Amino acid sequence: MEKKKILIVDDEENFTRMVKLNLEETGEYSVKVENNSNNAFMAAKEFKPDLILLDIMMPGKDGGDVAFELKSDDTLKDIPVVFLTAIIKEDEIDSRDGSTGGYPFIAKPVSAEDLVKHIKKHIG
Amino acid sequence: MRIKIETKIGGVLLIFFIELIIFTYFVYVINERHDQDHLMLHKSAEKLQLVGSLQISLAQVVMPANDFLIPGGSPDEPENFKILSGKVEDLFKRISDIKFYNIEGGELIKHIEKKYLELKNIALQIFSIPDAIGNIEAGKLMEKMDAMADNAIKDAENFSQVVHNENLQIEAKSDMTKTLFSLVILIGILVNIIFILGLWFFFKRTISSPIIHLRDTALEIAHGDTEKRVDIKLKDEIGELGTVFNYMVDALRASEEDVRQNYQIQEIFNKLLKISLENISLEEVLKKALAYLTPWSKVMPKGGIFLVEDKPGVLVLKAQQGLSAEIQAMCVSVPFGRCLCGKAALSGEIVFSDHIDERHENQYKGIMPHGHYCVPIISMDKEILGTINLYLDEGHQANDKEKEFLYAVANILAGIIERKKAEENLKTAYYKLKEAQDQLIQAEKLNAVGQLASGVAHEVRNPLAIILQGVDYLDKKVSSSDKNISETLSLIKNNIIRADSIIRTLVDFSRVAKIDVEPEDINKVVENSLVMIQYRFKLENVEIIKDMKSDLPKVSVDKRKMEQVFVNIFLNAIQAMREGGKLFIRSYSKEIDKPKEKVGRRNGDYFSLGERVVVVEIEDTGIGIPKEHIEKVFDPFFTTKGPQQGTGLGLSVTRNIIHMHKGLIEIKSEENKGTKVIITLKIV
Repeated sequence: MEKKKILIVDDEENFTRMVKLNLEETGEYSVKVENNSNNAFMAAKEFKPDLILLDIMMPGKDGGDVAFELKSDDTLKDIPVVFLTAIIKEDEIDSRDGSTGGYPFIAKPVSAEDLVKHIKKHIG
Repeated sequence: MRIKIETKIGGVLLIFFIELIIFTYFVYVINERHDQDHLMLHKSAEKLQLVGSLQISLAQVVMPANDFLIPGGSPDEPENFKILSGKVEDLFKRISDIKFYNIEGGELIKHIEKKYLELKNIALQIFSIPDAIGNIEAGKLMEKMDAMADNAIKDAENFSQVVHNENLQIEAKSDMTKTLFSLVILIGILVNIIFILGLWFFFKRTISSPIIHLRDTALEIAHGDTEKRVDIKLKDEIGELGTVFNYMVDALRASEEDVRQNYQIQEIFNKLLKISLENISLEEVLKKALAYLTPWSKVMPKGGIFLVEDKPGVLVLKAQQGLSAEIQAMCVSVPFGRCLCGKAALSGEIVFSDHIDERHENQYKGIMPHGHYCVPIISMDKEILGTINLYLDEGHQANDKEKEFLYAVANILAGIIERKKAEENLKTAYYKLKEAQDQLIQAEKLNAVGQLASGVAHEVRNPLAIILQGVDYLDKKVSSSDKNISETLSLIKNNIIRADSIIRTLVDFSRVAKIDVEPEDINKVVENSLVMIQYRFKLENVEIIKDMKSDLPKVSVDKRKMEQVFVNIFLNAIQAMREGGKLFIRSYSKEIDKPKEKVGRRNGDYFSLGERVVVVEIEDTGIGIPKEHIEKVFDPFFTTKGPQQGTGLGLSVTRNIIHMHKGLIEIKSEENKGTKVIITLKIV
């Protein structure tokens, strides 16, 4: 089975590293990390991920800007984007069917197990 | 009949004057008579002398004729006769010149004169006879003449006797006049003495005594015996002076009473003005005002003051003095138009009654006879603020002065009431402002906490996310043969979750959330909350005893927020009953009867008195809350639980939710007995 490609955009290198380790550990995912939000669009273009995990609060472009950029590109607009955030709490995401502004959310901190569950919800 | 005093004095002096004139007249008349008597005595004496001379002359007058006939007689005898007869005639003339007082005397002297004239004729005849000596004719004539002379002398003697008698009479009369004169003088002196005594008595009685009486009375009055009055029965100016004096004293007393009343009124005004400045409640002001006013009605120091409160057109008894419990109960509230005070409030004018009549509608058996003044208290805007009710003695006479006074008192009270109301409004406004300020500060705080929480959330959750991912990775990679390693990893994981939950609550707390209210059955909300954590009750061995009234009115609540509230309270209760216990849950509906914080009629209060509400009580049998903590339980971050058990935000969030619903949450607790949480909610 071909591995699903996950692009993770977050300025926290340690976090992206740990997520990459955990996801790749499952053997189901191939993960690309991008710590600079300004390069996120290019990374997506190159990597063509099946799903993008996108942090909201980042220096430079924030998650919203990046999502808008991705949506405006025909080749990228259909790639599911899941926000990662440390601000909006889990309850709120639940109460809005795990989404806001059309995008699903995952609240930090999230366990590896829960993260995989979320990803599977979107790309099987 | 009124006689002027000058008339009296004039009259008395006139009588005295007349008396003097009469007296003088008498003296004069008697004196005249005395003089006359004196003259008569003199003349009488002269007469006697003349009569004596006449007797001698008559005896002598015959002598020349006799001598003529005697031989050797002188031829001069006729001449002698002529001289002697001239003498006699002169005497007759002189005697005749003297007035006689009795006819007898007059007749007698005429008779003597006649005889003399005959004697003279005879003498002349004798002298005319030539050679008369020895002439028989002449002798006869001579005898005749002598006889006649004797006769005349006898008559003269008689006459002399008559004159003598007359003299005696005159003397007697003169003596009588003298006696009369003495008598008149004596009587005159006596009469004058009596008159002078009369005058003295008259002046004493009509002038001096009344004036002394007036003086003494004036002195006594001046020394304080104001009951004293002068008693003068005279019907003259002095009598009138007495009457006027009494009138003046009465007027003085009346004006003194006036001054006293004015002083009393002034005193009451002063006291009212003073209490208006005191920092006391309106009720106390009214009570004091009543205490000052009621003694004014002397015998019955009773009364009450009514005010119009929330219900327009209804007087509410706010202060009373001396009223029986019966009357107080009857007059707790009096609608306009009912009873005397209701009528005063309706008409805006003083209602007065001097006895219990049909207007006095609140009556009871054995009511004491009395009257009333009911005075409306009217604001500057002509609004009826209340009435003053004063008891009066039965038969009390109302007058304009009293009414004016009472209106003035009512006006002062109106001023005080309005000022107190304004103060109350100011206080309410102040509290409202303070509350708004508090809320603002609270909001500011929350905002600050919120910002802080967001920052903290971001900054803490990122590392937590890394740690969690790292631990998860290790958990998979590290061999599970070492039990300590897997336990350590699990401990790290749990504490990451705990740290995250603290941050979550913090963010939750700071979020100014909206509530979505719907009409709900509060019992259902409570039941749902119970279901959520029922396993915990079982676990902690807590018995739940429910007493929830069915058919409660629906309440306007956000169901999920309220569930959060109840769960929070249940969890606190469980934590307070570590050894197990009982949890009583009661729900009921009631009317709010007591004012307290957020309850009353201040602006911004959540509830008003008499409002129907739904109450939920949750009571545990746990360890309770120490007194010194009870006021802090709602403060954010205040907790008595151990560091691993609570954030200190639970009750704070709970109260915020209740306040968002405009509801009340109260906590009553006794250490080692338990805690009771009372939640009061608005009904739909």
